[in-house]
Amino acid sequence: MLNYNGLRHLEECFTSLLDIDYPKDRLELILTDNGSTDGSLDFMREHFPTVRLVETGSNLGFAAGNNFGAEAATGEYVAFLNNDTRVEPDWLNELVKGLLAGQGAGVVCTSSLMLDWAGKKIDFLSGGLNFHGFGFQPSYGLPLEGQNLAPRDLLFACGGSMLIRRDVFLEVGGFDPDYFAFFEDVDLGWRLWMLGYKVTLTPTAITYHRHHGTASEMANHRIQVLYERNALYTIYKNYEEANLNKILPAALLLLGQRAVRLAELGGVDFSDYDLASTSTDPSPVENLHRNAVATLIAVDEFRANLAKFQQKREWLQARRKRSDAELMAMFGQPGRVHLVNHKTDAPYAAAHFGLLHEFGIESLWSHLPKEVLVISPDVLPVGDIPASGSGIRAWSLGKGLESKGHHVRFTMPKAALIGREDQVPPEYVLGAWTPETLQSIVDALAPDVVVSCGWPNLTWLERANVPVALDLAGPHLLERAYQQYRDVETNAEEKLAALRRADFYTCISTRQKYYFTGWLAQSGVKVEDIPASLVVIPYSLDPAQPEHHVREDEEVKFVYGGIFLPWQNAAPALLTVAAALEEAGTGTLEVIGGKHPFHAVDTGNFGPLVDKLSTMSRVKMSGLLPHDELVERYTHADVAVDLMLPNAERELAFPSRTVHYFWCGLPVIHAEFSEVAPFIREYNAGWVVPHDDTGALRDVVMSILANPNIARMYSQHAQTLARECFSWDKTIEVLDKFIRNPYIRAERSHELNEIKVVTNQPEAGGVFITAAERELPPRAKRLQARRRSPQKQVASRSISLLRDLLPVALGRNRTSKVTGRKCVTLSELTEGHSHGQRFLSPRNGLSGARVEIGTFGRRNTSRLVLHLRAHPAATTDLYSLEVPVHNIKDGQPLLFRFPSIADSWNRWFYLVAECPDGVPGDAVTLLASTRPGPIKGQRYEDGLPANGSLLIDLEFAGGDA
Amino acid sequence: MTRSVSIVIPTYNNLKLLLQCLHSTHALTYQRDSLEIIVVDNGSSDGTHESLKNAYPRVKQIRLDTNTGFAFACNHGAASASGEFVAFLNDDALPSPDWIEGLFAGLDAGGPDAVCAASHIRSGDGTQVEYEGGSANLFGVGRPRPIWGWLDAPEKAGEGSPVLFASGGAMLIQRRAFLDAGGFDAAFFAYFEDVDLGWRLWLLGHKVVYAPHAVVRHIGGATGSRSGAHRRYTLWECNSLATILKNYESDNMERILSSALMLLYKRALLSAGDTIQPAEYALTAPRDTNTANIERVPKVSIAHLAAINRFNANLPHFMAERKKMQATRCRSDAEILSMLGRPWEPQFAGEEYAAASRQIADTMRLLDLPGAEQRRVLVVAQSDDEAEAVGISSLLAHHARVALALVDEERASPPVHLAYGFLQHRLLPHDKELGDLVQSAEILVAIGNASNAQVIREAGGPLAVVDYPPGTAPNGASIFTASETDRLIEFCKRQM
Repeated sequence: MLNYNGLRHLEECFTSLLDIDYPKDRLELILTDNGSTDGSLDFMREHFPTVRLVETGSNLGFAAGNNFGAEAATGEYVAFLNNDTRVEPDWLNELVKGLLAGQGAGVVCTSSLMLDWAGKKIDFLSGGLNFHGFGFQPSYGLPLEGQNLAPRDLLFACGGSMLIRRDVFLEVGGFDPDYFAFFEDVDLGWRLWMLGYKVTLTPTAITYHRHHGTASEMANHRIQVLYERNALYTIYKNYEEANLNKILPAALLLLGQRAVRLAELGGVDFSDYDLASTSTDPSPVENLHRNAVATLIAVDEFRANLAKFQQKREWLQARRKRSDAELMAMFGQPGRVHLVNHKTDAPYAAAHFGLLHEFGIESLWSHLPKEVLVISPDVLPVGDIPASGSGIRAWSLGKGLESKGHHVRFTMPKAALIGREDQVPPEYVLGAWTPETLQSIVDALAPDVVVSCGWPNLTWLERANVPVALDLAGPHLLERAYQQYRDVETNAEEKLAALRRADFYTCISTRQKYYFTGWLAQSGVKVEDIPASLVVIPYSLDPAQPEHHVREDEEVKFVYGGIFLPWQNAAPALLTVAAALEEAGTGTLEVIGGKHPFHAVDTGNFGPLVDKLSTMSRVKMSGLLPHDELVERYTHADVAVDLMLPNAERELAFPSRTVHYFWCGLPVIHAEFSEVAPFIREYNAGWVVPHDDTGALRDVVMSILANPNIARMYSQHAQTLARECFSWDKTIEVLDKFIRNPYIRAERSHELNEIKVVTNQPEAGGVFITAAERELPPRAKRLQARRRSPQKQVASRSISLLRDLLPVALGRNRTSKVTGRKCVTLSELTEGHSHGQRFLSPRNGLSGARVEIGTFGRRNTSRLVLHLRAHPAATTDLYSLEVPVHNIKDGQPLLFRFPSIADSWNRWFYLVAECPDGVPGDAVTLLASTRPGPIKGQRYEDGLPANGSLLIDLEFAGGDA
Repeated sequence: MTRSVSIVIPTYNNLKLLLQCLHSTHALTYQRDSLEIIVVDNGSSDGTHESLKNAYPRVKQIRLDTNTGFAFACNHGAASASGEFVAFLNDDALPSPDWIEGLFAGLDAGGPDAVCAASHIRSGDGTQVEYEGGSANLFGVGRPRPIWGWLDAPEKAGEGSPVLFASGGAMLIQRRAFLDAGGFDAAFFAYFEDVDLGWRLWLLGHKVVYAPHAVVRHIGGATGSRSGAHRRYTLWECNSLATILKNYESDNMERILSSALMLLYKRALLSAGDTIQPAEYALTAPRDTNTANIERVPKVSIAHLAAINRFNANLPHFMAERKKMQATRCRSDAEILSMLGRPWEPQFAGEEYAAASRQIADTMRLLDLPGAEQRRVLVVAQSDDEAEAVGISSLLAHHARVALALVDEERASPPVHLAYGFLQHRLLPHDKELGDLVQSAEILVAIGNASNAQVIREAGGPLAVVDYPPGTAPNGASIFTASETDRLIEFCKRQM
């Protein structure tokens, strides 16, 4: 054990060491003291006299200090242990067993499993390395539960707790003493493998670590020098010549980019360094963060030692037994975007992938599997909870990628699991996301690529710092519109902002590709890039299909299944089929469905439909089923009724349920307008009828009842169609290509994220990294300010396009509960917005105005303020009223009463409403008619004249108007 | 037949000098109807357009709405030009009346491959030479000085001598060749775009030559020099990296780029001066009181990071240009390297940087690059009255032998690695011409008592003394006898 001023750790650590159950006669405990001045040695002599003390005389650093101890040691094997640890009693026994088990295969070194001090979280489970020499600890900080704890080969053992054959350690030169500290274990592992040895993990040997007990006292910028410099040392020594030549310039350029980002975070505005800049800051000096300086110093130390490392390199390369290609397969994530001590963001990641691509480095590992995180917006088909189409979509993309060899993790919304945690495997519960934790999940897992299913997830990813593939499977905005979720403007802006956070896009159908092309262009994706970066992946399922059961002697069974959603109208079809069955006196229709299991989505017209169907004799109703049970029902049915009325959403959809029917061997009766219809015709996998031709539908049902064998034959066709066109192993290729050579769009490299700057305050509580909120650098602020307006323009263009697609006008038609007039809900009264009405009072004695409030069907918390003014430009109120809105119901009238104005006849007034603290999703609004009202006047929106009129009634002293 | 020339003058908010410049272009003696003058205005806001419309209605004006940089403006001007040749001229430069004739004289003397001719540029008052030939170091940093080989040989420095590049401030180029080569690289914005162009012209098999009688006076005060130094540094640093990336063969590019980057970071540190104390960054140093962890650093130091930022952002463009260039090149790096003229010239003052350069050259195996072995060897001999009295002195004869041996040994083509300057009559300590030669030489070889000259004794750097009476050679000099030619050659090769 190496010690430098670690007095406070020694007692706990050596107490646990003296407790280990290894035969004492074959155990030598050595404390190598690196010149401590805190009385460590005296303490050891007094309390642990059996421990041998070896003194280096001065602080040689971690690497040379440990070498010193190993040289002094007498054992056949040497175990290195950090002083800020404690071990399980069988720690050493397990390490020795683990090493001996692999000795025949060339294992000379094995690593302990390292947990945090409480034993709950992973510290070191395996060692990863990226191409420019930054080592990392995959799964660091993740819960122990659900981790794969099998023994395995490792690129390197954790220098803080490992066992190695002493002769080999000394033969390869031990830890490289020039490293002083950090990454010396990475380099040792790489060298061992290169020289023909092997390193493994012995997960049964357990060490507990007080993380960075020593490092926490060191200044951040000094550590930065060592990390940066040692990474350069490592790649310089260990890569083959051709790879080194290719990688070194890219590594040096990327190092400069890190310095740039650190400088920016420290306040440097690089736009001032542009010759075209017209700013005239006369100062010849400015502030540069020490962590940026540290990177420069690191390179210079590397350069100064090049000659020495050239010799080390030559020694090593002459003894090489394994190729870079073999070793790179052990890196884990050679392309990982990784900074030590700092978080990453899109501009840095863009430079990272840009360099990999431009220097042709990514091709060194594009054949190797990638770490992929799939973010599902909904319940995944795991466990016993009914899954939705979007959850199955996420699952199928992930499974498709797995079929290409990638390592895929899934995360689903925690909200979907509340109260049902015991119904899904624990790793899904532990890994579930919330809007607050999504970013930290991405940071902790540090995947090579994120696949986000649906854009709303990206709203929560504040720093999309890895390449993001976004699956746009459904026209979600239309779905929101059907749900009256917020107003269209807000949703559109949110959508455009989310689209900007992705780099590659998938959608589910050709029609969707056209639809999303416009959206992507408006979000700022270069139009010429869209054809290559927006690809179609049909809704796909497992190539292994369930067996469909032929039920020769039973009645023909029709099914309809799925969540009831407001944008789907299957009523005419289901009623027609049910009536036909009643008429024929044979066959059954089973309707399996219900309210969305997790989202608060309206069921649209399904409520009345279910009521009606329940009264029909050949109809059987059941609620939503877990996936397995649903498959069981489907595979025991004959025909799926899959016919809905068209609308914008349905025409753009490539229905998941339809593919699911095929997969289960159910031929479908399907609408002609759908993009699936041609597939059905091509494969004879069902019947295509016009959506509004109930006669044709009835004829189809009758023909099936008359000749059930047709259905049974079509059943096979359905599964053939699913296998050939909708199997995830076949459809995933277009996404796999991106996953293998991921990138960050150039446009994203300009996003200056509001990244938290790392400040170095080791004095404050001994925390290794403390993050403090920081003002945006001035350039970022300017950029943001400038971007706002084109964004808005683009959003409003999108919205006008969208209005045409929407089945109802903006705000959705409704009826006033007071007057029965047709009206609409205006846009949310968020901060800075107002709805007003100018009117000419028809009488004297004006004493009140009644408006009607829209709440978007939710409970809002903001205040509503009504002002009566002389005209729209007036800044002072005649009267005003402020009311809390939390008790106001949708459509409720609100009376604004004020002292009567005696001479109000034929005078103009202006009534205006605002929610000063309203935010999207929490604000009320007013109702308005799209036509002029009975009172002469003009409607205003945000102080500007608008069409229609507010629903407003005036009161006068002595009776209403 | 008179060849038609379009003079392209990019300008940006520099009306006063531009008017002077136009005034002198109207005094050119070149045949008027073969001359077209185009001003490309990079979005000036100082009334350039109106003034020109009034004062020079026949000058063709191209107005760009924003400042797109020197390189783009030149390209734009050339693309709209109608002449068979394009002459680029800075808006703060005043050509002599026979400038164009002088350019053609140089071009014609350069032979059929010459497509581009460089002017002789002097300072505004005419006293200083600002450009008399284009050379560069290994890392793409251009110098307006001759390729060393013809520095001391006036007969070679005449019309049509090869130069690596012509100064973009005043040059002539065949319009077709310019456009086919892709013009200046617009991503350079300004600075070193002329080095990159010259380099590419040579790669494409063309020749760039010097026209010593095409004289231009450069007033100075153009846009770039009015801007902050840190902005110019950003472009210098970025653009020299780009020149490396685009133009070297693969193997060389990777090694040279890595070397250039390490040296760039070294310059970043050195130009921060003592505002950065490396000792503070040692892990074992005592903690200091700078808890904000901020250093107050000169912007010219941070400019090196700005250059990396700019380079990385433009990398896809530079790589695409690289692919084009490498696919069409017809000269090898060895040929180009021998054209550089000053491959080892450090681009930063001081021994610490020079030592870093030497160390990089050594460990990154740059010394082995074919074509870059050349050293600027100055052989100085003194021919005193006595020697003259006996005709060609034996020392001079020996000097010639050494020189020829060196040339022969290198077999570089063209053999420009050797210069031998010697004065026919006297060697005075204050002789300025010799002083300049000594300053730009890498290695001095003094024949006989030439080493007595003060300018040589004080020169610093490697010094070989041949045939000197034992015991009186300057301190630190390496001594050779007249017969030790092999040893002397070896000595020269080892120096960096």
